[in-house]
Amino acid sequence: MSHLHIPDGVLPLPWIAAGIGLTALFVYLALAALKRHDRARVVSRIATLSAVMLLAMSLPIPLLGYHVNLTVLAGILAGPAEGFIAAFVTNLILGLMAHGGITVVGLNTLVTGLEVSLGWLIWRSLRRALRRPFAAAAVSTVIVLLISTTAMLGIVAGTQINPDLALHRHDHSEHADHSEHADNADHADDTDHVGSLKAFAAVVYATGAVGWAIEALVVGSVTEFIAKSRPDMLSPSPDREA
Amino acid sequence: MDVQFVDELAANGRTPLHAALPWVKISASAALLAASIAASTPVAAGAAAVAVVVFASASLGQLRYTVTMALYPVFFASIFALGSVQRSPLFALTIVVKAFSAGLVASTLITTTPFVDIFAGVSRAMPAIVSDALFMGYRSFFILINELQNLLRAVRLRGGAGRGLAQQLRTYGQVLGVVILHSADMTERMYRVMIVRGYSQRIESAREWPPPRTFDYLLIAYAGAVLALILTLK
Amino acid sequence: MENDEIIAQVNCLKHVYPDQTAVDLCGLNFTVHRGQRVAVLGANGSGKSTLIFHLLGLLSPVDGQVSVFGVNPAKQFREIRHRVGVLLQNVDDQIIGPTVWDDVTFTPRALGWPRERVDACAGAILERMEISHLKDRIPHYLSGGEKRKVALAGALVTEPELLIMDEPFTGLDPRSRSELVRLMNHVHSEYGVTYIISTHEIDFVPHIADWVYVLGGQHGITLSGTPQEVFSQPEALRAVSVDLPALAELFEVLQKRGWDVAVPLTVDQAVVELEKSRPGAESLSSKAAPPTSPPTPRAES
Repeated sequence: MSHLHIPDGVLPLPWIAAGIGLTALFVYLALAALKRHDRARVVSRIATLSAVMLLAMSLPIPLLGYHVNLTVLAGILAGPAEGFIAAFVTNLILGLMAHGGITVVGLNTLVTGLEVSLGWLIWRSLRRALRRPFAAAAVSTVIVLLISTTAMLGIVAGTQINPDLALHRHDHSEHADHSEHADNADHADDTDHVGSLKAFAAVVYATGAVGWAIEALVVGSVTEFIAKSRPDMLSPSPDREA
Repeated sequence: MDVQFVDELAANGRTPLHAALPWVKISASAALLAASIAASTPVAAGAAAVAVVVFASASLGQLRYTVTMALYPVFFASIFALGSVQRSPLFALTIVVKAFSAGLVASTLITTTPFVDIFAGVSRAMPAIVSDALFMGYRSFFILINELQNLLRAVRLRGGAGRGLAQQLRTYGQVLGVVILHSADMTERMYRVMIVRGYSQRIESAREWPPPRTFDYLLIAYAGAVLALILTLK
Repeated sequence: MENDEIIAQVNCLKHVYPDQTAVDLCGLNFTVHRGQRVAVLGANGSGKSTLIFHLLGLLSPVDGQVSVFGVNPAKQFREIRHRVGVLLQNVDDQIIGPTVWDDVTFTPRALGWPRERVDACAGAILERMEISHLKDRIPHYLSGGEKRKVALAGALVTEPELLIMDEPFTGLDPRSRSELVRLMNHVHSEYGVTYIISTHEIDFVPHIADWVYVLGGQHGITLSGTPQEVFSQPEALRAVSVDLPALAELFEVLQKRGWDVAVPLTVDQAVVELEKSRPGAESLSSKAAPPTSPPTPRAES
């Protein structure tokens, strides 16, 4: 895996709800952008794109145990609107396969959807700057995954609830009067909290970096192959750029 | 994540859970999932996990596989738990156990219920384009995976993917490239079929089901009771 | 069963694909009468699929006219959709519904038929295709032959007047091919369906077609006639890379070696010809040979 799949039971309800709400909004916007296009064509494109992403994710790379996601490639090939819906479809199937949570399909889609959209955007810029499709796609992939992993860390940081509050709520309420004691405890909690987040970030960036390199190499190779065989697929028509 | 194997288990399995009505399994799974997530104390999370394992045991011999599937979210949850492990190991453990329970609910449902029945339930809440893409994407996966397997076999027969990880990954990328080219052709064929067959509205499953039996009622009652218990314990 | 009413017509069709590949189907006109069974033959790249896609309104010609049931399918296919059934080369792509039942009922539901009518028609066609037991099955667990039957059932459920089939034998084992021939002829005789079929399976053509068109790539439509007429022109066929049926080829060689035989297209005809040629044939040739089923085809084309 080149990015984290958020599992069920990790995040608080408001974040889960926000994830679902925002995903619904973006799906709605994507559908609105695709409204004037032939529905059968849109459905067939999203369906095969989702199938390809699912296929890539179901195939572990030997020895390493990683799998690629091809989210950046989805952005390159399909653009942000179809790519975002494909990311949602893929995450929903993955959620049902216990490969990422069902309740957090929204947040997982936001992260992968971000990868699709940024992938499309950065590829378009880099393709002009870097001559080789391999380089443009690989560099796009690394940048996108760095950003999406940081976004994921932001979610985690934003949703870190105080474990003591979660586990010993009654104790806290009982000792609420002892303000001085409570202040000291909170200060210690904050220090621990930052330390834990740093440890968490270190693990995520370290394991993620290997995944980014693998994903970049694979996405670069696929893109180069397509550039040689079917270059038209890499210059999406206005339809696909909706 | 072996989607093909999961699909085969769901379509061809013969366990009590396979025999239960899809809507019953989906409802029971939703209740157990809610219980798993609602559990906010170690005791409640542990109780939910036990209850889910009991539910999953009705899939008999498949339990080992569904538990293995549930370990995947456990791995991710462990990474998340790292953020809290210094302050409260119990909280970290709770996160991991909750992820396990939720993962086991999902893996049990997907390995005992054909995707058609699950998607039929889920897709009603979605816009038609998204739900149609869900149905057709899943079907396309099974067409493309055959191509991918054939290509990988051909690579092996022609001397392998090359020496060194980088070369192997590039070969792997090229194989995926071929599959993507095929998928583009498939998109075009699929589009043609949809046009000539008159695609204009939502793709739906019209499967009809018999009335619930005793096991179905028991399953619903069990899941409801577990949810009530966890809400009390949390 | 055949009459003079023209169902489909193509005149000097020209098409250019986005990659600038040009397909020219001028030459002879392509005309299909009601009740006819028409086979379209040609080498790879000769334009068979292009012709089929134009008849289905999936492509618009650069030049020339296409008419199906009196309308231009590229513009008005919706109007004639319920009258046209389709069986495409790759049935995996053709099956849209999540289950066999969902797929077979797809088009009538899309046409807005009432539920009772949909159920009655789908139930009847599944029974006729002998696949009622597959009703609730998920398509990707069906065999190639079963998928083909499901796709055919989906094409026939609306009781179309015209059935268009693009390489329907591709990927089928010999037994399934013979079974498909039997089904096609059953559908033709029972429902009077007109059909147009593009195929490489030359050996089957005498069993499935009353009329044959041969596409010759840049030369357009080069030959047309009954199977007997078309297959009696081996040189013209070879010029456009189309083989003769195995039997015709064998008897052509026999003719060249001085045998006094006509070129047969079916095993029955071949038996009669051989009986006539052997010593003491007169007494034997009067005995009718028993009818035979379609041949098991030669190696994959």
